[in-house]
Amino acid sequence: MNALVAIDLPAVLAATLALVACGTLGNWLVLRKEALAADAIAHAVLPGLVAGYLITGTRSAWAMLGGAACAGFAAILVSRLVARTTKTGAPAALGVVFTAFFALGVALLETQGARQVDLDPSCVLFGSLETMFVAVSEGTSWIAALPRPIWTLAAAATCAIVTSFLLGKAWTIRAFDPAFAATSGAAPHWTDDARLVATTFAIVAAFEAVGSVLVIALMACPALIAAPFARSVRGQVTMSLVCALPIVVFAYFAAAHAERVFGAPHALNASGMIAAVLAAAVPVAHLVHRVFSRATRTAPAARATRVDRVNHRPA
Amino acid sequence: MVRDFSCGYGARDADVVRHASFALDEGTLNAIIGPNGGGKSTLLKGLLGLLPVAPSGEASFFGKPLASVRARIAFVPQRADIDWNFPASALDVAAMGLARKTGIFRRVGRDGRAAAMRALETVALADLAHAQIGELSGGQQQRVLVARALAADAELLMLDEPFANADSAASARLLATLKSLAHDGRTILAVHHDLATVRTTFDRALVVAGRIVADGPPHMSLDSSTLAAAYGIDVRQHARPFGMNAERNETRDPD
Repeated sequence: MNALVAIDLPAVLAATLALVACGTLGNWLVLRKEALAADAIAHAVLPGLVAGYLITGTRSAWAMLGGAACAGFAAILVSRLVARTTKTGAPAALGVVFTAFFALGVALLETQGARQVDLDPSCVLFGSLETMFVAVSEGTSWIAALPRPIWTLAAAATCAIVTSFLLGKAWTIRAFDPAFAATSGAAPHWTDDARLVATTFAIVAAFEAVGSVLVIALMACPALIAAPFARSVRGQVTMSLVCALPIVVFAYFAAAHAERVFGAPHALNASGMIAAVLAAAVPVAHLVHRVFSRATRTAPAARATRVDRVNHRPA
Repeated sequence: MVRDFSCGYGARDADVVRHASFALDEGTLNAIIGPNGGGKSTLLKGLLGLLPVAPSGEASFFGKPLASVRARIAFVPQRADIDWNFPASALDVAAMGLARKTGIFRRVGRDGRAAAMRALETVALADLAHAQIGELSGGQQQRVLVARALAADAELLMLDEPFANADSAASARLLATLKSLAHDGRTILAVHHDLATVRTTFDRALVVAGRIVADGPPHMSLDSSTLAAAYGIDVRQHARPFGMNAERNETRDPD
């Protein structure tokens, strides 16, 4: 088996699945101007990770994922409660609650004998794309040998697509006009809760494989790249994934083969590179849109001026 | 029917609107007017359960509580409350009105799109159905929101300052649409600021200044003593002709 299939393909698959899971749902975060909620959820899962370990006594993936998902969702509910019952606005409530959750996680980690929970800072920030290789032994297929985080990501990506397909209409109505959604009963409150559960699941699932930096980038950047060109929400979701996919693949290979591409002494961190290129693509997309719109606006005017000059040319 | 209705954003003793009681006749055009901060929008939102604190008193619609008749009521918010850069066409927004009918999981089909298009025709925007909402003028955007309410087949339309920042032509067109809807049997309740148009066009005016100061046909409820009590000034000296109270004229509206 060559290196491309054994090392690069599983990592690209993991990054692509993370893009589908986070990028799809990130569109509604951006439409609701809640893009930073992804960052907040990524931090708020810490007490859940520790609690998962304390309750089960193991570092099994499901204990950690379950704990993290519960903590993320609990933090969202508490921040809503704070926003509703105090004069604090929703963004400030989010900031306060997620900071408190992160602090609680650190306190639990330090005081409850849970320091065995291995939280390597570089792993938390950049995930483990580099370790997503496939070692095929005799009698096993490439698919069966895929690392477990890829299967978790596949489940998250499927969840994101299915929930978006089923509830996308309600999410769009709530994002466009929450008052109309509330008064008409067209998009009940539980649909929003379902979106946040799916979002939390996507973040938690992607967190292990690609790290918090890329999770946050995947939640916000694809939607922000597509936003200036989109003419419908469905179009924005599709465009965000279609535009971000080649960026993800290009950035991965650029990082993995940095020696040849940049003349670097060694390969670069793949998650960091993907996040950086995605972030750089956002202003580029907005710039391209601005130039394109100016060109389409000025073209008829320029044509009219030329025609005017021709019509009024002195004899 | 609204009876002894009080609502606000905090403690009960700090209610913005207190002890409001009134009833609307079906198929009429009703205005809520009053000074800034008087509680016009708060009253509307309180009636629709949009305030963070539950109101006190009684509010029923078509003789029933709000929860059981939501489908018959449509709220049209202030234009400023909407993100007009949202990726949607006028037709997409009008079709949102059908969401309750089609159900949460089903998409709006061809029949639904046709119904949304009819709603846009009613507000004279059919030719702009596929235009992005951000490309429309203020008056057109307001009419798109009215079209969404029509697509929902709402019998009671509650509009929060629908004429804000609309120029004279856009205001006149929207007003004509609302009159025609009232003529068709729908009930309109709109927060409004222009005393002149309320006098000439609306069937009824509720003057709100922390409470209902006056309620009745405009020629009766908008007398100088009532207005002086509500606004604290002699409004006759300040009332301007139709459309002249627009803070900003918008030039994009081709009508």
